[in-house]
Amino acid sequence: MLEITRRQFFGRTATGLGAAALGSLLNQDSGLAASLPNARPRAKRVIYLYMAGGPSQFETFDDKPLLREWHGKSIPASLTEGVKLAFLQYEALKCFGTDVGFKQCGRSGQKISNLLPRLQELADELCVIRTLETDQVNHDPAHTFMNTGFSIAGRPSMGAWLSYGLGTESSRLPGFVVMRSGPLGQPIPTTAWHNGFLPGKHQGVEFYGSEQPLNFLNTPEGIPPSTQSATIRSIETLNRIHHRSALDPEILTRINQYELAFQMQTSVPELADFGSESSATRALYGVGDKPDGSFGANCLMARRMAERGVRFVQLYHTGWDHHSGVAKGVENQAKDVDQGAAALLRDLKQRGMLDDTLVIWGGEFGRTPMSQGGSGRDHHTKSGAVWLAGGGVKAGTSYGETDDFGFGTAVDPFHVHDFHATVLHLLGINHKRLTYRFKGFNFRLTAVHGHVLEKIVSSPVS
Amino acid sequence: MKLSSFIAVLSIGLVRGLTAEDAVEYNRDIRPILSENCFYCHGFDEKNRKAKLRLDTFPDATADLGGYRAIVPGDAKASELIRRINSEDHDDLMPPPEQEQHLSQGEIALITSWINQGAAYQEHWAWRDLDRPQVPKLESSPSAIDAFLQEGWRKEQAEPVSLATPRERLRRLSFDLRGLPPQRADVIDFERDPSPAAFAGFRDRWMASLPYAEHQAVTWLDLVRWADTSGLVSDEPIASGAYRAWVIRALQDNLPFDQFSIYQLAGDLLPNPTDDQLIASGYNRILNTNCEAGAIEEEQLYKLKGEHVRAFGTVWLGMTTGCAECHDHKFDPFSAKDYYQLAAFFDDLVEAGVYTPGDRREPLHYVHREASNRLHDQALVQQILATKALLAEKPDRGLRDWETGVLPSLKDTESRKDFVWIPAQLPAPRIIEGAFDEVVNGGQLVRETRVQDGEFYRHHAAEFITGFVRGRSQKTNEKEDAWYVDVWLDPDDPPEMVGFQISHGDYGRLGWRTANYETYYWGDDQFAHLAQAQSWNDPDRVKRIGDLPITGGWARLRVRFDQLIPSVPGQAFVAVGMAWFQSSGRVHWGGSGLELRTDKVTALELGETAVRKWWEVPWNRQVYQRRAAFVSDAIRIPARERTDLQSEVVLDAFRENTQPQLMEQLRRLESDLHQLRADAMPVLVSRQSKTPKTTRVVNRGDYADQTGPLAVPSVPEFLKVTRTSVGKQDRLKLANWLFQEARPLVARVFVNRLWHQFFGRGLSETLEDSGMQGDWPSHVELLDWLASEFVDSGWDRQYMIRLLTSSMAYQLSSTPSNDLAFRDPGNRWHARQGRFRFTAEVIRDSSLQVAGLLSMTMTVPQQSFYPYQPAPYWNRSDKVMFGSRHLAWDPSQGAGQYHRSLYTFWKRQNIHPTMLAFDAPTRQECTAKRNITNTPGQALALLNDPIFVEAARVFAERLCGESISGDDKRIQLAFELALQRRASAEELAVLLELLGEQRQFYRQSPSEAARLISIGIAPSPEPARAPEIAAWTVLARTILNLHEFLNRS
Repeated sequence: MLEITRRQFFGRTATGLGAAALGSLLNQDSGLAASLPNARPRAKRVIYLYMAGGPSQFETFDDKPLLREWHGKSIPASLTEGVKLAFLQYEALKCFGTDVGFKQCGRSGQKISNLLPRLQELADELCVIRTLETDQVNHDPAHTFMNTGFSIAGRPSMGAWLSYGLGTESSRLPGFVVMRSGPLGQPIPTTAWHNGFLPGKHQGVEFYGSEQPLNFLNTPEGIPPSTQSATIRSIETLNRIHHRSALDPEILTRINQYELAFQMQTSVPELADFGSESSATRALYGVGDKPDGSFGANCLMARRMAERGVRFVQLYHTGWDHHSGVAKGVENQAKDVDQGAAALLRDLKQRGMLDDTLVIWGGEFGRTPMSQGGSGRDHHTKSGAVWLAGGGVKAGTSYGETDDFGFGTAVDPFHVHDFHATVLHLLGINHKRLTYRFKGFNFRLTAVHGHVLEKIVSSPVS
Repeated sequence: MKLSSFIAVLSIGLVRGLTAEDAVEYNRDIRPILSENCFYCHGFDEKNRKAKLRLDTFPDATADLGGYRAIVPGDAKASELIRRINSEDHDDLMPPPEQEQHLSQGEIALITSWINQGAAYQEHWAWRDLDRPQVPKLESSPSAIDAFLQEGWRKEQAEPVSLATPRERLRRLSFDLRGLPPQRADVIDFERDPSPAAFAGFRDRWMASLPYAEHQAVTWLDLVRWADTSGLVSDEPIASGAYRAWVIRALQDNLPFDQFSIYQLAGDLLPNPTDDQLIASGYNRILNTNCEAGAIEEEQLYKLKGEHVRAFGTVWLGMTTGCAECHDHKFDPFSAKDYYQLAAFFDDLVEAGVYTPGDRREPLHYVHREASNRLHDQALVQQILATKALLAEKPDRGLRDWETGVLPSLKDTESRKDFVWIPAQLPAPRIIEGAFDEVVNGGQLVRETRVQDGEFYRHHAAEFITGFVRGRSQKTNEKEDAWYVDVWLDPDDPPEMVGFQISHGDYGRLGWRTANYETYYWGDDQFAHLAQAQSWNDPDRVKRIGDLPITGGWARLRVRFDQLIPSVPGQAFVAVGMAWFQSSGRVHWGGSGLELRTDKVTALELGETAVRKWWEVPWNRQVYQRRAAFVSDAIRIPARERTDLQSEVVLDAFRENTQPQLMEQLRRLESDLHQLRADAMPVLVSRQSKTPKTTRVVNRGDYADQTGPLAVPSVPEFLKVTRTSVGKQDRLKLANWLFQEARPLVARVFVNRLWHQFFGRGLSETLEDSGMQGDWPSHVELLDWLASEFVDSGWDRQYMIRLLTSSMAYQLSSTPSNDLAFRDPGNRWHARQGRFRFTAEVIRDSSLQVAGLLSMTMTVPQQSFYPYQPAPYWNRSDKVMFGSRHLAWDPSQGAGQYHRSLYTFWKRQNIHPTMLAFDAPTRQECTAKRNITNTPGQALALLNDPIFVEAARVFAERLCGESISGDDKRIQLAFELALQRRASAEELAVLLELLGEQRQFYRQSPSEAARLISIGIAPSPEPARAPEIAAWTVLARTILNLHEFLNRS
C-alpha cells in the first residue's frame, strides 16, 4: 500500500463528492492541526474586535507631536508620492495634528489616547502595533483583504481557516461566530465571514445581539418543544429505515445534524442568558441580564462563547470612518468600545483564560496624518494601529514605529499577510502548511506571502 | 468504520498501484506529481524559474545541463532528477524541504518507472486536438457511452449494479431536467411501461416545458455570477433581470451553445442586433462594480479587466486565469501577457470604474413592448445624432466672443434672476403622477387642474431630462433666494389651498424612487389633507407659508431659503422633481424654479451642456457629481490652462448656446425620446465606446505601473490560434474563436460539466479547472467522444442531454455493491449512478410543489421576488452612502411569494440565509460547482424557516381536503405526493403514532394549533379545523425533512 498522509488525503478528496461524507465524519474532530507538525500552540482561540471603517491611529494609539507642530502645513511630498489615496486623491495634503491628549501608561509606558481611559489602565496587557500596512484603500476590498488575505471576495476568511485547521471544541456551537454592533451605515458584507471554497461548516455563523441570536433558532409558533422533539425523533426513525436499504453514510450524518440542531435550540439561548453572570461581571461590561446588541454585550457573549469552545469569535463594531470630525467621532466610538474591550481583557484574565485566548483589536486600515476637509482623516494604507493581547503575545510592548509624521513605517512593518501568519503561528499553525486544494491549487490564507513576526510572540513559559 | 480504514480504502482509488501490465502514462500518472511538486519553480513561469531548469516539456527536461541531464530517457539511474528526489542531503534534496512539499515513495517509484520506460510526454488532455475516438466494439452493442464505460469495468473487473427501479429512474430524470419531483401518476404510468420509449417520452415532454429551462438556467447563472446587485460596498440593484429571463428563454429555445455564447460576449457587435442579442450582451455588465466615493478610477477600471478575464476563463475555457494578473501561470502555459491581451478584448466596452450611487449604470438599452415604439426610438436616436452633428458643424469662430459675453453674468454677484427649472410644459419627466389639461393662458401653454369642492388633487413630475438641482448649494442670501411656482387661480372657482412640494431622490441621477418631500402651502388645509402620512407626504415636513394669493391674475408662490424645511440629514440630496397640489377650485400652473443671484443662474443654465454630454455615459462619480458646475468652472479658467475635456465642454456649450433653433429641435427630440422610454424596460447592455480604454501588461498587478507595453487583443498563445487572422480583433472575434480554434477545449469543458449534472461527478472532477492541476479525467476517450458529438451536433445542448439520459449508465441504481463501495468509493468507474443532496432551489421548490403552492407561469418574470427572510438578517440595506438607493426587503405578497427559487432577489453580499445554508453561491465570483454540505444549519432552516413551515401546513390542508377516509390512506397519499411511493408498514406505523400523539395534543391546545396554522400568508383554514390541520402539519413537516426528500438518487 502506498503511503498517503492525512493531509494529502484531505486535500485531494475534499473538493470531490466525497467531501460531504468526509466533512461530516470529521464534524467534531480536532481539525487538521493534529497532523500538522507545527509550532506549539500559544492560544486556543481568538476574539477579534474588528473596528470597521478604519479607526484613526492618531486619536487612539499613535501620538505624533510633530504633526501638531506642522498642523496646517503641507506634508512633505517625498512621503506621499505614489501612495494610493482615496478622497484626498483630488486634494491638497496638509498635516493634521490632533487635539486629543495622550498619556504614558503602566509600567510599560505605552502611550494611549485619553479617549480610551479603561484601556489606558490595561496598557501592560497590550502589544500595540502602529505600522499596519494593507494593499487596499477602499472599505470593501480592504475588509475582504483583511479577512481573507485577498482583495476579491471568494476566499475563506481567517476564522474559516482556523475552524478548518483546528476544528471546534464545542459540539453544540459553531467554530466561527460573528456578531455586529455599532451604527448602521457602511455595510459589512456577510461574505467577510464566508467559507469561500472550504466546506460550508467552516462558514462564520452570525449571531444577533438578542435572546434569539441565530436565524431559524426558534421553533415555529404553535410547535412546543415536545412536538419538535417528537418530530425530530420521527425523522430519525424514518431516515434509519431508509438507510437500511440505501446504505448511504450521508443519512447517518443527517441524523446527527438534526440532533445537533435540536441541541443548539437550547444551548444557544442558554448562551444568551446573562442571568447566570454575577452583577459585578455585568457591571464590568456595562450590560443587563440579556444581550442588547451593544458592543459591551457582544464582548460578554464572546467570553461566554470562548468558554464553550468556540474557536473564533469576531465582533464587528462599525462607525470608525471619520472623514470629518475625527476627534469627536473617535470620542463617541471610544465610549462604545473602551469599556467592552477593557472588560473583556479583565474578565478573561481573572478567569485565567487570557493566557490561551488571543484578543485582537483593529480595523481594515488606518487613517491619514493629513486632514480631509480640516477636521477629518482619509483612508490610509501605510500606517494604522492594531493591538493584540493574551495567548502568546508579548504583553506591555509595542511593535513597529512610524516616521515622525506617522505616514509610513520607520521600523518593523506589520503587513496584513504578516498579521495572518502570526495569528496562525500563535494558534500553533504553520501558515505555509494550512492549505486547501481548489481549482487545482493549494490555497493558503497568506497566499505566497507572510512572515511570522517573532518579536510579537512572548517566550513560552515551560 | 474507523477513519483510518476509511482512508485506506479511499486511497486505492487515489494512487494507482503499479502492475506489470500498466505502462506509466505521463498525463495520468506523472504530470500531476510534477505539477504539484516541481512546476512551481521548474515550469512555465519564466520569472520564477529556478536554475534555468524546466521540467514541463521533453526537450527542456532532457537538455544537456553541462554534462548531466535532469531526465535521461530510459535511464532513471543517470537522471539528475531521480538522484535529487532521493537525496539524503538536505541541500540537495528536491523539492527543497523548506517548501513543505514531499514526494512519497510511491510517487518516486512512478517517476522512476516512467523515465525507465522512455519518459514520454503527452500533450495536456484538455487542449490537444479533438479527434473522435473509436467507440469500443462490444458484443452486446450498447450505446457509445455505455461501451466506453463497460470497457473500463472490464479492465477493473467490476460489475455494474442493477438498474434502478422505474420510480427512481423517473424521479431522477424529473429532478435532473426540471428540478422538481414527477407527478405520482407519471410514476405509476412508467412503472406500468418502463420501456426506453416511455422514458424518452417523459424526457421530451419535460424538456419542452419552462421548468426545464428554469432549472438548467441556474447552472449558467452560477457560472456567469448573475445577481440582482452590483456586489461592492452599497451592493445596489442593477437592471439585470432581463438577462436572466433571456438565459431561460434561450435554453427553452435550445439556442445552440455557440450562438448562446456569442450573443453574450458580443451580441452588440452583431449586424443590426435584436433586442435579445443586446440583452444577452448584458453578460459583460453583470460583473462586480464599485461606487465607493474614495475609490480610484484607474484602479477600479483595472479591476474590471480582471472581472472580464476571470469570468471568460472560468466560463468557457474552464481555466484559472486570475493568477496571471501578477505572474505567468505556475502550472499552465498561460502567461501574464496572455492575461492582459485577453483583457484588451474588453477595452472597447463603455464602463466606469467608479459609478455614481443609485445610477442605473449606463449604457442601457430600452426594450419597448410595441415594435413600433422600438422603431420610433431608433428614429429619434438617429435624429438626435443628426441634430448633434449639425450643432457640432459650427466652427469655433466666435467662441472667445461668446465666452467674453458670458463671463460678466457668471461673475455677476449683484443682480438676480429666475432659473426656470421646470417650465409649464414639462420637459419629459420619467416619473409622472396625476393628470392635467393643457390650456392657453396669457398667450402661453400652461397646465390646468380642476377639482370638486373639498377635494384634494396633486400632480407630480420628476426625473427630467434636464437633470436635477441641488437647491441649497445655490444659496447666497437666504432672505432673497427662493423656490417659486407661478400660479393663476380662477376667481369664479378659487381653491381653498394651493401649494407645491419639492421631491428629493436619495440617489445620484436616474434614480429609483423619490423621497423626503418638503411640502409648502398657502391658504387653509381645511380637511387636514396634509396631516395624513402618505408615501408622498410626511406631516412633519409640511409648512404653511401664507394666505392664498390673488385670483384672476398670475401670482407667484415663493418659499425663501430661510423658510425651507430642513433637509433630512445625509439624505435629502438633490431635488429631482416637484409636485403641485390644491384643494377645490381651478388652478393654472406656470413655470417653477429658483430665484437666485445671476451668477448662480448662469452656471445652472450652462450646466445643461454637461448634463447632456454625460446623460448616457457612465462617468466617475467624483467628476459626475460636479458636472452641473463643470461648464461654468471651465469658462472661468483661462483657455490655455484648461484640460482637453474642459476645452471640449466649453466648445460644446458655445455651440449649444449660440444655435437656439437647433437646440429647440434637439430638446424636443430628447424630450420625445425620454417620454417614449419612460414606458420601456431599461436593460444593461454592452456598448462600444468611441474612445476605447487601453490595457498595459503591468508588473505584479500594479495598475499604476505605466511602464509595460500596451496589450493588443489576442487569444492565449498555447491554444494555437492561427495568428494570421486579419482585421481588428474584437469581442466578436474572440467569441467566434471559442467555437473555431478553441473548440476542443470549449467543448470538453461544456460536456464535462453536463456529465456532472447528470451523473453526480464530472469525468474530470475539477469543473473549474481543466488545466494541468485539474483532475485527470476518469474516461478521457469518452470525454473526447462526447465533445466531438457536441461539436458535430451543432453545439446542441438538448441533443447532448438526450444522449446522456439514453445511456444504460444513467439508469443504474445509485446504491453501490460491496465491491464498488470498497474499490470505487468516489464512483470514478460509473458502475452505478451518483447520489447527492439537492440544491437550495430544488429543496424549496419541491416543498412548495408538494404543498401545491408553487407559482408556475408560462412567462418568465423579469423581476426578482422576495421570499420570507428573518428580519434581523436584513430588511433594509444599511447602506447610507450619499446617493445610494435604500433597499427594503418586503416579502412578496400573493402568488408572488411562491415563485421558483431561482427568481429570489440575489443580493451578492447577503444572499437569502436559507439559500446560503444550502450552499448557494454568493455569485461574487464565477462558480462551476457548488459545494454540497450537510450541516445543523440546514436542519434548523428546514424545521423552522416559515417558508417550509407554511409549505408543510398547506400540504396538510391538501391532504385533509381529499375525500378519502382513514389516516393510513392519507399518509399514503402524503408519501405519494412527496416521494412518489407508498409507505412501508413500518414507516406507516411511525407516522401513525406521531399523528395520534399530535392530534391529541392539538385538540387539547387549540390555541397552539391556531398559531401554527397561521404561519405564512396563505389563508388559514377555519378555526374548527385547526387542531386536525395542525396535527397533519407536524406529519407533513416530518416528510419534508426526510433525507429521501432532500436527495437525488
